[in-house]
Amino acid sequence: MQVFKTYFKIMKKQLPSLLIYITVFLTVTAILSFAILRDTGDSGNTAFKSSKVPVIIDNQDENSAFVEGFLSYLEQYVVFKDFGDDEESKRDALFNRKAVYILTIPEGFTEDFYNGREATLIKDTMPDSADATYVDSAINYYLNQARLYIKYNPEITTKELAVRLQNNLDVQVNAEIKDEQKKKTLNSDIFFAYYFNYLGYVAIACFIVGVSTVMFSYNGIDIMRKHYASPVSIKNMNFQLLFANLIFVMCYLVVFITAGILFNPYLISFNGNLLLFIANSAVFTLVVLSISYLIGISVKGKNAIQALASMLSLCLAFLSGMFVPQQFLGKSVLRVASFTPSYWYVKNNNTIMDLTDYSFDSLKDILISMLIQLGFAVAITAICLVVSKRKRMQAN
Amino acid sequence: MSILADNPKAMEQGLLEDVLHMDSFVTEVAGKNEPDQMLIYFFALLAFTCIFSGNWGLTEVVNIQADQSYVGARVNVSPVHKMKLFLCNIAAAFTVHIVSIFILLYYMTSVLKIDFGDRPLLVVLTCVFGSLTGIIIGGTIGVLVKAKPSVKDAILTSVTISCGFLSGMMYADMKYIIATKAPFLAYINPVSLMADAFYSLYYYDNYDRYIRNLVILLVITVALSLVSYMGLRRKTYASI
Repeated sequence: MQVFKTYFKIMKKQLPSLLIYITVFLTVTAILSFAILRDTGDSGNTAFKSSKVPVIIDNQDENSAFVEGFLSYLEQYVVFKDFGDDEESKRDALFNRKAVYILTIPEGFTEDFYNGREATLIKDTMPDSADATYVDSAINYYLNQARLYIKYNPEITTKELAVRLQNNLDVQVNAEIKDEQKKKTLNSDIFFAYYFNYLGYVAIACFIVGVSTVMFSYNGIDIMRKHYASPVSIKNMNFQLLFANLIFVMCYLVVFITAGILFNPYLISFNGNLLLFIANSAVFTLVVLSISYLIGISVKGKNAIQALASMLSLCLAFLSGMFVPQQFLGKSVLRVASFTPSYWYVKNNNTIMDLTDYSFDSLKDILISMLIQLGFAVAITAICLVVSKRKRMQAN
Repeated sequence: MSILADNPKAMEQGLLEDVLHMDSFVTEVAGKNEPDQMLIYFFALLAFTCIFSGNWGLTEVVNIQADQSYVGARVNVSPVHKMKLFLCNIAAAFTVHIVSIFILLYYMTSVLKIDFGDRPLLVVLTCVFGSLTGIIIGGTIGVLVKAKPSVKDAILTSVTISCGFLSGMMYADMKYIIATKAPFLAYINPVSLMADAFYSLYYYDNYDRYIRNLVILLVITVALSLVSYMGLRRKTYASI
């Protein structure tokens, strides 16, 4: 087992770098997990607890009975969010989907509205938002009713108007506005889907650095000549290398899966979905291992490994939906992404997240995606063999 | 209906027509770019790529230090002034990097159709500033960290990835969380400053926020340049 031992001796020399990567990625993963919990969880963002639309009100008009009545009517359908008084905070909140509607009541609105002059409210909304349209409807309904009351009873006071409208609308309006951003109740599977998608990126970045660096050391022409002169057969040497690589990547995987399980507060017990998540990541690990192996035996310099690790991990992560969810990626991007193994890995995680029964029909798609990933692993390994053979011929 | 109770002649005055006629009382703010959270990913990605020039800075610092590389050892015994050579190398690295950034920017705007707003020259200026900052960050890590080049590489990559992560590159909400809960982190993070500069160019009409981001970026660059310079100057080796 000299080759196996040497593999880990070389790995030991890389230990400081590897430890830095593990620490950083574990920290990033931990922060990400808490961010997911905060954003999607039951505690924290109350905007998602409610089915009401989060709206920011900027009232520049007087606090008249009319405006108060209007806002208390609106409160039946929306939830008012406060992000501070400055314009930037409000617009930032809108951009980041913490609110879907900024409603500005301009100065003199009540007076203009009462006197029949042109009076409009100003809105700033998320584009193409159904919620915003619902809020528009609710506002227009109220103000049209108010306009009728004022037109046919000009003597009516703002207080009377507010009471009349409230009584009238309590009976007539039965609109229900749902928050389009309302997310599913966070459960263990949704958390794991986020986590394992992100783990794909970590696996690519870390395995390429770890595996490729060691494999590069084994593939120097002088080292190869030395190996061929030794009594250890090539088959035996390759087997030991493969075994060492597998041990390394599986250890890495175990550390990150354990971290994921520890970070997940919704996990009550080990279930079939978790096993499928783990199986999917194990299959993907084999693909990444084959990619790392190929890089290790192909690159000319050690510096290239670092650059390739960063570039490849980010490219695959962005393209296949590890960071940006697949449903937000365009069709053409997804079509291109389907030629990468990471796309099938992420797709599988998303499918497992929604899995509720374990019949063959339900599992069929998951198994097919895993087989496609294995197909990638086999294809890349075949390329590795060709490259390896060429290198061996050069060495001889 | 209580309108009829108040005004029995309302029907004759056209109440029915008025009830059927619905006016709109809300108008959208005119002339602004629409909010799109997906852009956060791309702003952060471009900013990250600019700061990734740190690898060039690190390589150049390693190549100038006699105890770090063979090239460095050779440079130290040559008659060329070390700092002069270093600045030339940095200028060359910067040129190569900024060309690659322009290619990326062209790809993002023309192929991916990412909307950076209507001030492209300022976007380019931000990329230039950011790339410069990136090179200096790499150089500073190269000077300050006393370890093997591979460890320096790992530290630089970790710093850049962490900066990218905290700017929303991997999870768009992260930028907002940091900006609201730990704004100090956003101010010392060059990727975040750049991403926020792109964001303010896209989303805001005024230049206040953009200028603030660029000024902080400049201060970071100058401060780190001084640190690098202090670490590199008049360094001699008794034995290599």
